[in-house]
Amino acid sequence: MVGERIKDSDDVLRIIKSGDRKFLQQLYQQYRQEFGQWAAKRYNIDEDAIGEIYQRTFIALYYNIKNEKLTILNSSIKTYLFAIGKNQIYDHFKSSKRLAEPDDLMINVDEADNSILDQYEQSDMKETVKQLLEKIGEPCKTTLELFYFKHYSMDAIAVEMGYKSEQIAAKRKFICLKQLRALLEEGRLDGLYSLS
Amino acid sequence: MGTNDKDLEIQKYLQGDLSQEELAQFEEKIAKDPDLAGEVRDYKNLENGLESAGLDAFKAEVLEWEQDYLRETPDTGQPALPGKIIDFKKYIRIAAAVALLLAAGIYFYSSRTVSSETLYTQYYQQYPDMLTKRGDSVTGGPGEEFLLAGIDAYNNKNFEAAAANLQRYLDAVPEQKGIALYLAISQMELDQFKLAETNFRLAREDPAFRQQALWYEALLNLKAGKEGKSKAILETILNDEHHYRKKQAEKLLNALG
Repeated sequence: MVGERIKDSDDVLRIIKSGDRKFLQQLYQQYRQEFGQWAAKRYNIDEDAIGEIYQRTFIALYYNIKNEKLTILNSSIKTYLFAIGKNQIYDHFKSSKRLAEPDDLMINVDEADNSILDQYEQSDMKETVKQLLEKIGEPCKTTLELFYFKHYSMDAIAVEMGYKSEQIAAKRKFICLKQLRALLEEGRLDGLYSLS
Repeated sequence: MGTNDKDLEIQKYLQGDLSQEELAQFEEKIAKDPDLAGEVRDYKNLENGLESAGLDAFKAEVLEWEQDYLRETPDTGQPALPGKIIDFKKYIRIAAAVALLLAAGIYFYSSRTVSSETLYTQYYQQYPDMLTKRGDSVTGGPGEEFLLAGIDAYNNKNFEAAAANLQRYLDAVPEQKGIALYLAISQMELDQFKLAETNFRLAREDPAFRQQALWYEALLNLKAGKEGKSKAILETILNDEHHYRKKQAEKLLNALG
C-alpha cells in the first residue's frame, strides 16, 4: 500500500523523488484548493493566475527535490510548497508589473527558489532531442524517457526494462546516449542541426 | 554499438562518479584533446535537451492535473478534494468503485445516446492564457498591440475582438504560429469552423502548441458534428504516449463509441 510507506518526512521526499505519479497527483490536488484560497485572500490574485502560479510552484517543488536541492524537510511539505508559492507570486507581480507587492513576499526562502528550472527552460537542444527520440527506436527511446522524463532510478529502469542489474541499466542508458549522439552527428552532416 | 574504456570514463564523468583525482585527470585530458572535449560537450548538451524535454512533459502532466481539479471543483468554490492527509486505502476503494462504474457505463452506453454537442460541452474548456501572464512571449515586437488586445479580449471571452486582433497580429508576425491556437479557439467559439481548422493546423507547426492544437481540433470537429474526423484526431493523440490529453482522448473515444 502506498499509504503505509509514508512514515515520516524522509519518506515523503523519497517518494516524491522517485517520481511516483499517483502520489504527486494526489499531493497536487491535496493543497490546490487551500493554496488558491490563500493566494486569493492574502495577495488578491485572480483565479486564472492562481492556477498557473500553483502549477509552477508544484513543478519547482518537484524539481528541487528531484535534483537534491532539498534533501531534508525542516517543516512540513505544505510549508515548503507555500514558501515556493510566495516566490512564484513575487515573480508574478514582477512580470505583470504590479508595483505594490505585499511586503512579506520580500522574504525569500533560499531553498524554495525555482532557479534550478532555468537551465532546462533555456536549453537550445530541446527540440533537436525530441526529433532524435523519434528516430532512435526501442529500447533506447523508452530507456531514455524513463530516466529523463519519468526520473526513474537505474534500479527501477532495470526492473521495467528487464535488465539484469542497475549497472547494466546505467550502461544501456549510456549506449543509448551514444546512439543519440550518432544521430545528432548524422543530422549535422545532413545540415539538419547546427554545429554548436 | 558497444562501449570502450573512453566511453566508460565519459559515462562516469557524466554521472559524477569519478573520484577527485580521476576527475582532475579527465579534465586535463579534455583540455588537451579537442575531439574529446567536443564529444563531452555533445553529451552534456544532449542531457540538457533531454532534461528540458522532460520538463515539458512534466508541465503537460501538471496542466492535466490542474484541468482535472478545475473540472471537479464545483462553482460554489468548495474543495474538490478535502484538505486532509491522503488516505490511500480510501483512495484505492474509490478508484476501484469508479473503475466499476466506468466499466458499467461503457457497457450501458455501448449504443450511445449522448450527442456530440453534449460531449463537446462536457470536454471543452477554454485554453488558459499562457502568454501574457508568463511575460515570456510579449516582447515589444511588431504587432505587439494587436497581440495584447487579442489576448485581453480572449481572456474576457470577447471572441470577436480576440479573433480580429490575433489575426492582425499573425498577419504582422506570421512566424509566431503558436498564437494561431488562441485565434483558432476564438473562431471555434464563434462557430467559424473552417477558419478555426486552418489555424489549428497552423498552430500544430509550433512544437510548443502542437499537442494543444490537436486536442482542440478534435473538439472543433465534435462541435461541428464531424465525429469521424474527431475520432481520427483522438486516435492520433492516443498514439502519442506523452500527450497531455491522452486520458481524456481515450475517455472521449470510448464515449463516441
